[in-house]
Amino acid sequence: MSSSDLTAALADFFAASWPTDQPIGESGPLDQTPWAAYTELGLHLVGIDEDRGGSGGTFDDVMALALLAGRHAADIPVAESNTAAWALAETGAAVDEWSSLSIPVGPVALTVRDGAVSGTLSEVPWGRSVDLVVAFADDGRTVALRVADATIRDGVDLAGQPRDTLRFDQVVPVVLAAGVSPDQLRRRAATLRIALMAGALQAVSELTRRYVGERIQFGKPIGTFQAVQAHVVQLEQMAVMTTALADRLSLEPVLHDYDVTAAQLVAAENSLVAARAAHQAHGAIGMTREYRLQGYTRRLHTWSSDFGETLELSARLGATAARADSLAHLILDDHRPEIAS
Amino acid sequence: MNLVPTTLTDEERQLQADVRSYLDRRLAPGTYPLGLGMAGDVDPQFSRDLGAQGWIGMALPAEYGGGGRTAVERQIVVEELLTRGAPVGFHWTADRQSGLNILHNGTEEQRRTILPGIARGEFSFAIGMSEPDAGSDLASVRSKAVRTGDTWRVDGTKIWTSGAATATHLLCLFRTSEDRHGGLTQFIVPRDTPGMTVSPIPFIDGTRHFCEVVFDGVELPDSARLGEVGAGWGQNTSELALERGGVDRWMSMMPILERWAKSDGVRTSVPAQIDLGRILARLWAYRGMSLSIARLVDSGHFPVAEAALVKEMATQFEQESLALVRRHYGRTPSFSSDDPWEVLLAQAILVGPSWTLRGGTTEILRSVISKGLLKR
Repeated sequence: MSSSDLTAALADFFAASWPTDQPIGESGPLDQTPWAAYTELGLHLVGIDEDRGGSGGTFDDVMALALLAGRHAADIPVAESNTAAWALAETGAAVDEWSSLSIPVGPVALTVRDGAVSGTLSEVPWGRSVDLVVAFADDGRTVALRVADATIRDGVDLAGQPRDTLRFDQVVPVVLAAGVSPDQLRRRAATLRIALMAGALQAVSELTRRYVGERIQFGKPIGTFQAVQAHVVQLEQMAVMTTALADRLSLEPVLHDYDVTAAQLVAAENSLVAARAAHQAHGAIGMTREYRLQGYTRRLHTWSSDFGETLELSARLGATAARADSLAHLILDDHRPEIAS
Repeated sequence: MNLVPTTLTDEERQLQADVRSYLDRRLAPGTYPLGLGMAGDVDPQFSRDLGAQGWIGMALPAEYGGGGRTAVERQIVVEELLTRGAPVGFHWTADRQSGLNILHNGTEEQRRTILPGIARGEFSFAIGMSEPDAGSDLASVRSKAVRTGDTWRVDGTKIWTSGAATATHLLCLFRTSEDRHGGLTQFIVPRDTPGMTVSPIPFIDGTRHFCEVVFDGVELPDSARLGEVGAGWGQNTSELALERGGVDRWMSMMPILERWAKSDGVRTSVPAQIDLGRILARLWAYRGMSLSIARLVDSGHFPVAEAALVKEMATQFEQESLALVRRHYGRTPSFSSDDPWEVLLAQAILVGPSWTLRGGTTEILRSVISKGLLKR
């Protein structure tokens, strides 16, 4: 099934589960969301080989799911659960006995002694309600831990989605084995974030275009004012540009460090620019929780700092460019260097 | 709007390698005046040399002297030229838009007499669109062409016409009836036509490429008319899409950025590297979009709104990146410097605002994009 077929088949599921004519509420525990239906369709394990217990399909398919989740502001950990399951599968473990997983977005400190794991995972999306959390031990091995074994401190991100801190004390891990590198995991998670941002930006662009066409002030739709049109144009630019980046990364056989970093920087900046423009075009109504816009812009603010801060990423990319023979070749060539660490 | 991602094929990569290797020899650093994108120096010999390589009029059919190649292949050549700040001024407009306009709308005789000269790099076109009272509002053009038998008599003034002083031809939009849009017609005017006076208007940086062109009873044969009488508005709009979509809209700064990236000022400054990283990421993203647009053109589409969408933001970003380079430079660059790069930076500071004016102002582009969005 191609990703566009997948998108078409799933559009109905997302539309029914996260209707776009409803306000976007604060996220609750996973069992109060359509997550069970999502997993019954096997969507949480798309992009993972069937011989590891996955649902099959390609990374392109996972990106299509993330884009849809972004468009609908779906209150489930699409990117986190899939990335965790993928990292687990890459250790050779089977993934099908776990119905919900997550990864930490914040700092991680895990030590292993005599086969038992201790330490803290911070900012784990939906940490309190998933079965399993996947991270790296300080020796670089992949660790999978049961959330049931953790002491949990609840938290939320700017969008009101659960983002909890999990502490483990001398816990026997479900898996402790060599797998992907932390950087490989970062690239995949960051790329899925870009798809989520692209989806949200598309929704924000469409929402704003519709609003300025309907809202009458001074006797005519505010969208007829050039000053307002400028916001609408900017939103479409940010959506088209970020979607093009997500599509570009979807097609890469192996996610390239340079490409992911550059795309993260652009997507993050686009998200913040778009959030401002959308609120400016909407006026007061966009500032209320009963209107959908805030559900998107709060997510955009959260996602734009995940898996790499803008300042650090741009410094790394800039250091790479400063050492390169040609800046133009970094823009025009297929063979781009690994970026400075 | 949707821009499908694309990469270069092996053949296209080979073309890129060939162009690089040729330009590395032909344009050794220090042997030519550095230019800012399409405002590169006017150097007819360089244009002829490039024509001899088959890299002008690439998209024109072989029977008219062109290369029968694609928009993507042209983009590959253009990217390499603009990266080097090459002297592209003489052939730029003819290569980008006039040739294709004549191919699509010209008579067989016009194609045979003009297109081969464009492809050889021997013909230089300037665009006579704007007038003192018709800038962004192009439909207000008043310069008149009145027909008597097989002759048109032209009176009026074109202004802000880049390169008219050095061009071999002008492609002009004249009023042929009072119908606002339907009363406009395009003409190909040889530069040496009697009755035409070209006067340079000193540009903000002191250069003299900008011109005023006065037509005082200029007589043109009907064979100079391009397309049907009254079809000028549509032809002109199509031409503007060609003018807007390309990489020339985000690459003006490349020769400045290329050297800045390697400078001590950047090597020793983390804040400068942070800005460089941001600039690089966005240029990489714009390039992907330009390539997608070129592929759309090659598959027979006419992505007017998409081209405007990219130009609107990329030309603003050119000026933003210029401001960043200037800030890290630490002092105002001088025209009296012995360093040609510093002179180029000084020039960029003065001419930078033109990047969001030429080929459609930011405001006009927004209106084009808005209309494009309403149609979807």
